[in-house]
Parts: sequence; structure tokens; C-alpha cells
Amino acid sequence: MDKERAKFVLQSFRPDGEDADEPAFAEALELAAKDRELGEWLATERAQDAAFAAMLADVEIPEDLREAIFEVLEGAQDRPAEFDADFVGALAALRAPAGLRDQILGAMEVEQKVIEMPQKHRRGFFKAAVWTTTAAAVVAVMVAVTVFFAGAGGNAIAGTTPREVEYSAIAMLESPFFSLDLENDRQAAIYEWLEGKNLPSPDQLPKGLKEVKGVGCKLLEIGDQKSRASLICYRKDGDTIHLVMMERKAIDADEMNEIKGAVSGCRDCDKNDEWAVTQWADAEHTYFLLSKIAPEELAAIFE
Amino acid sequence: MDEFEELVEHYYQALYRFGFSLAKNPDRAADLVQQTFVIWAQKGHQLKDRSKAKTWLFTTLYREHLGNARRSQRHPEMEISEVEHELPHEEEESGRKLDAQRAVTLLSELDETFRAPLTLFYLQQHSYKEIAEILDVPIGTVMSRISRGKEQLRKKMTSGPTSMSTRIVDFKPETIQKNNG
Repeated sequence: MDKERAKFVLQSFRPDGEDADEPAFAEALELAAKDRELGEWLATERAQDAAFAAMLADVEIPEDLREAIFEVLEGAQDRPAEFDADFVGALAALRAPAGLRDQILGAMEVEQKVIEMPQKHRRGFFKAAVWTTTAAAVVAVMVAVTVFFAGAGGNAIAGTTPREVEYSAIAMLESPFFSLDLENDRQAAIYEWLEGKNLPSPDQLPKGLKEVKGVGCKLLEIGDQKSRASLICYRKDGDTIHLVMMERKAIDADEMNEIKGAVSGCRDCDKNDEWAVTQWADAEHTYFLLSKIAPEELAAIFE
Repeated sequence: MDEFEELVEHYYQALYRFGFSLAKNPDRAADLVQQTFVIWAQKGHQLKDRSKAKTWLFTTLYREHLGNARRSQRHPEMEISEVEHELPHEEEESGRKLDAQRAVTLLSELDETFRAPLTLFYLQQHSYKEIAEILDVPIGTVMSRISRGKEQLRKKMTSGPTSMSTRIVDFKPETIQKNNG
């Protein structure tokens, strides 16, 4: 664990010390005990957190709130509960399925795991979709409305370098006229569509995308040569994750790392820091992963 | 004291503070708390693991707030700063009262994504795992939102009329020392 990672973890360490026995903080605390700069940072962080927590604890409670709670309860007991169906459903969902907690804790592991899709089964892959065990992703309902704007959505991605492709892709995604060519929440259906159009689809996926729902896909054209590429959109925890992939020869990919380097490469786009981006390449394709989330959250997709 | 009374005593204040940061309005915050306990009174018996009652209550309040936000279109939310004059006006004799109001104002000015996890963090009643459970997001997401929320909060605290730079390290050293053992 490096200092930056330790700081990230320790920012969730409660100032009253209640988390002192939590295993998740042990390594970071150990590092802080050994590293003076980190130790001083932690002391300041906890002091600031304690000060703010004290401010919040001083928020006055209405004097009659406690009595009002009991009065409302007495009134509620005299009539049947009236809840709309959505809320009843939400309450019913409060009980976590067995094993979910362990899955969440398992997702805290920092190791990068990439699932290789079996090449030889590729054609029959979508018919015999056997997915590996999942991370703890919760699939949200539907993607933001802007993704489905009707109208003439452009599909041209300018540029010959990775950065240019990154900027151009984000500009396209942010366009109010952006639209998908196919909308489907099944990854298998998306890949089948791409295959039918002789468009690239991923042989490798970050583990965190393996079991999530899809949103859709789009044909892209890269650069002056109009090399054909794919945009594939996934839905994970309420966020849309965009994967742009193309043949390696479509752009200058000499400086691009393998997928193992994609985790540490997660960063804010330097032209639009609302977007987190990373990229990698293999022998045949280049990949760009983009989303309006924090770089740390993007990195977590590979875990 | 029966179980229900005990739960009210233990959690209604923290629930109110959480609700206040979400709803940005003291009356709505009180309504959220009351409704949460009504739901508990009617549905709480379904919770088999009673040790999860705290998380259940905060989750319920949060979901109730989300439901209200979706349903309510007729009553735009007012920023705390706009309705501060409607809050019970007491002489500003206590710096702590000012700090408390300022804390809620600052939280209300944060991006909605950060407000709930950061408030739960500063209430200090929930671990990051419990916050993840209440908000129904992965643990990594909670940590990220706390980190980014703090960054946004610190920026607001050290700039503009709400600047609290002179009080940013006004802490109780004995608390830190006690916890350091």
C-alpha cells in the first residue's frame, strides 16, 4: 500500500477512533505509524474531522420532536398503513441476500482480476454464456435520460493519439444529440450485434463489468481513415461505464500499456475532470474506459 | 422502557441531524424522523436481526427522503441560507450554535452524491460498511464519496462567507489522545 492509497482509506476512519479494530484500516494505520508525513497528515485529518463532527453534534433538536414521534405513532396505530407500492418494495429490499456482506468485503481486495473470454468458444459463447462468479455490483434501474436522446447522433471520433481519442469520445458522449445504435441490457445481445456488424467486441473485460447489465452500443468511426470501432456502454451501481475499442492500427498505440497498467492509469480527464478515464492495448485492439465517476471508482472496476 | 422507546431515545437525534442535512429544512427533517419511526412501528417486527435496527432506521429515513424528493415537485427545496431567518432565532450568544448551523449549511451545499455519506460519516454512528449498507452502494464507492465530499467541504470551509479556516482545527485534543490510547 502506498501513501496515497493509505490516505484514501484513512479518510473514512472515524475521528472518534471507533474503527481502530477494523481490518480494512490496519495496513494504512501501520504505514501511518511508520511514516512521519503520513502520521502528521492523519493527525490533522482526524482533528479536522473531529471539529466538524463536533459542530454537527451541536445541531439542536426540536424540543417537541420526541413527543411528536410518540404522538404520530399513536395516530398511526389507529389506521392501516398507507404506503405506495414503491416504498413497500423498497422496504422489502432492505434485507440483504445471504452472502452479500461477504461479497462486499471480498470486493475490497485490491488484486486486479481479469477474466479471459475463451477464444475457441467465441462463436458459441453467446449461446452458452457461462459467467464467472460476480463482484458485489448492484444493478441500478435505467441509465440517465441523456444517453437515449433521439436525433442525429454523430459517431465520428477524431484524432490519431490516445489522448485525442479520449477527448473526442467524451465530447461525443456529452453531446445532447448522442444516441446508441442498439439499446439492450444483455451483454450477450450487444456482442452478438457487434459481431454481426464486424465490429470489435472485448476478449477481456475488467472483472467488475463481467456481470453487470449492458446499456447498449454504437458503431464509431475513428480518425480520417474512419476505422470502425465499437462503443459499448455498461451500467454499474447507477453509473454508466463506456468502453471504446478499436483495432490497434487505427491509432498510434505504441505508448499504451497492457491492461495491468490500466488500474494505475485511472485519472481525471485533463480536459474535463468530471470524467475518469483509463486506457490499455493488447496485440490487436486498443481500449478506452470512460465514466463520470471518480478515478478510484474506475480503478475499483478492475478488482 | 420498551424496545420502541429505547430505539427512539437512542437514535432520534442522529436521525434528525441526518434528515436535516438531506432535506435542508427542519420541518421536513422532523417529518422524516417521525415517518421513519411510524414505519418501524408497523414493519420493524419483520427485522429478524435486531442488531440491525440502527442501520434499518437510517436506511428507511434515507429512502423516505428519496421518495419525497421524487414525489415533491410543487414545493421547491429552500437552501438553508434562504430560510435561516425562519429558524428559531436565538441570540447568537453561542459560537457552538453558529457552528452547528454552519455545519448543516455546508453539508447542504455539497453535491447530493456526497451529502448523505459524509453526513453519516460525521455523525460517527456508522462505520463505512454500515454507510454502504444504508446507501446501498459498494464500500469502495462510500470511501470515494467520503474522500471527494471532504475535498468539496474543505474548499467551502476555507473560502467565501462560510469560511471556517480559523476554526478548522478547533478540536478536542483529549479526545484524540484518549483514542490513541
